[in-house]
Amino acid sequence: MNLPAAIRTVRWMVWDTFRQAVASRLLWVTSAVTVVCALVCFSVQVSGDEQRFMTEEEVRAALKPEDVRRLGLEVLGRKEVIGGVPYDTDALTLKQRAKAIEAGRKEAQSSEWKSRNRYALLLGLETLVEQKKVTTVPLDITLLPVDARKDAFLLGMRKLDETKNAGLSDTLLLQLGIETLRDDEADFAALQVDDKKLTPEIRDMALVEGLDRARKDGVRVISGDVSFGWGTLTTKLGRNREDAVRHLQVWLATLVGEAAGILLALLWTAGFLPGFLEPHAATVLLAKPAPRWAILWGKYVGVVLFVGIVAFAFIGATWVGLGTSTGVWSGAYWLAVPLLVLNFAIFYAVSAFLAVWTRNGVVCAFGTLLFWIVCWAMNFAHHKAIANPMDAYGPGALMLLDVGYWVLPKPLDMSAVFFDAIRAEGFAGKVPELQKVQDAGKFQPELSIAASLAFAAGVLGLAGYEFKMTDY
Amino acid sequence: MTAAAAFADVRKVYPTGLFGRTRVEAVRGITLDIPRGSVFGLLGPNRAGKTTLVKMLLGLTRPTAGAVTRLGEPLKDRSTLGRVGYMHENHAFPRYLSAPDLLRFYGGVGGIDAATLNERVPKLLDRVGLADRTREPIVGFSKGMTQRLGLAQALVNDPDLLVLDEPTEGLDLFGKQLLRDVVREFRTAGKTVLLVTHALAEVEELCDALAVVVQGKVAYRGKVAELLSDPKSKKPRSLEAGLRDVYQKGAE
Repeated sequence: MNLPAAIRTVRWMVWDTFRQAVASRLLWVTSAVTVVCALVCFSVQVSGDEQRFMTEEEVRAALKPEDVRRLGLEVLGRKEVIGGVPYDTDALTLKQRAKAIEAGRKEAQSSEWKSRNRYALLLGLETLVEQKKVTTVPLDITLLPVDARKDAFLLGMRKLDETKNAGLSDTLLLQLGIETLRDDEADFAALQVDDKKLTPEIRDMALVEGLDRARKDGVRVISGDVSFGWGTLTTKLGRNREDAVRHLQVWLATLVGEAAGILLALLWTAGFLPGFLEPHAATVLLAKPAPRWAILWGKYVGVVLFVGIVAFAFIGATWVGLGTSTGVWSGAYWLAVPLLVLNFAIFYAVSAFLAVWTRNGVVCAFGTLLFWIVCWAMNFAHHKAIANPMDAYGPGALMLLDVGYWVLPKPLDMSAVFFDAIRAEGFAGKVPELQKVQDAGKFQPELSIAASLAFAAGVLGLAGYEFKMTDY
Repeated sequence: MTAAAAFADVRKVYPTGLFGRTRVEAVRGITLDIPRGSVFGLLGPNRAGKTTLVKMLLGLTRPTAGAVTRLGEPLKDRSTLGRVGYMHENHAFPRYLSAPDLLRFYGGVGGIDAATLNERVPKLLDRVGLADRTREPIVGFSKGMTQRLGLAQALVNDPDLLVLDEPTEGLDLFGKQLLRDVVREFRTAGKTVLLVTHALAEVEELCDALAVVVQGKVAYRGKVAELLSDPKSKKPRSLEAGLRDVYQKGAE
């Protein structure tokens, strides 16, 4: 192998690819997206909450704004300013009750963040009832004193960590089921306390009462707003300032960067190689004293490097934007750059192989997209099989899933690595099956990424060999 | 002295059809030497196997059997490609590059250092009449301009062997004259030109010797002058008539 010739070839191919990327307007499109996102980040304002990062216990114990209002409603209910707030479960038919219990059971089995917290609270309450520290559990848990809720929640979280399969009574499952169904089912929506129907005066009173009650009970209230467009669009601060910013970063990295950005880059660059490999375009270059594999890999490296620079610019600009506007400089966000590039590089290797094999841009674009879906499905199915071992999987299917999982790239796992790095579990839901696999200690991120990389290297090697053996 | 290019009982079979089960024999045992310092014409009807021979010489296609040497070295020694210039009849260059960038790119991949390229590229562009079109991307170039650029690209490494595949396609009168001048300069410099063409005027004017390939075999090899007289009647005839005679005999 003539290494100097290979290095020289790769260098020139990278140069050529950058010129191609600029000419294809990919640079301008990605720059425009970066500028828009950076401007949005610059326009973000987080007000009210102190900048100090709360401990996990503090966050768990603190009340969110919606809790405060419900607390205030409870106070107003007791003061007979408004009617009672509990759910009217007597209005349910037996069929509806059964449906609610079933929904509650499903929800309780899910590890999605909200239901996990809810589950912990209910689990804790049940334990407190068993320990006779609480005599009865009302259907509307907000009727409980704040201290009891806090104790129940912390107890439930501990118990949840100790016993993964702890169950809930039907009564509590009914409660959980109603909460789950009330947004989607008309029958259950009627049971909801619709505080939007309250007059503004009552709502304000409820907030004041709730804040007062929380203060007396010594429970911290998360207060403040997150706004976009320099105050044009405002929403309540979900947790605390740092969590709010990290939540935005997760959106930017996963929705804009990974889902939209990587797919856009894969589709956009899918035509680079097939066009370049067409005989009437490639023959003069292939008649140069350059190894063929270096020509192909140089083009591949050029595209990946270009995407890397775009990812770096995007993450950097949004990081600076959010940091400047909120004062939160979360370093873990930068991990999105290597993960985005890695994700792209793995799937672009498949695109390169398809390009050599078919020289067809449409096949490259949609073949890679289809392959990504297959990989995601395989990744998900593997975790589902581990998370729910009771499901009816035959040994053959399990082996197939295992082999498929370890051979193919694992996009879901890479998202999980980013989620964990940015500590997103507090504010964003991970795929429940993946959460269960992680909880069971069966998730091996390093091995998963290494296996994905090995796949990409193998496919790229195969593409290089195929290209070398192709007659022009 | 070794030949600039030599084919020894070379065969090429292309698999075609579903799963490559059908086989097409494009070259059927060709043995041919292209002497150094000559302008050698390679002629033949369409689908005769000329392009396959050129592709094998340039390492674009591997021979199924037989041996090919390029500038005295076997094909697997790709370094000799650094001394070969190749101009293709209908090449699609990267349309986003300007003419100077394109020459730097092909020269760079071909192993020419930056200093040499900086010196050589403006001269070449001036030589092919594109010195005034250096700033724009070649997407706006006409067919003739692209051919001129293709010629400059083939000369960028100052080759010892110049392979011209239908080089006059799309060239105007001045372009054709430029090409003739370049070929003559090569001959004067003792370098080799392999000219694959259907343009008989160029063959007659430029080539020292030629080979005619018909149905994958060499049907004729010799001087151009030998084709210009009828072997039976010894009367002069046109090159076209001579070639037609060779094509017919080769096909029988």
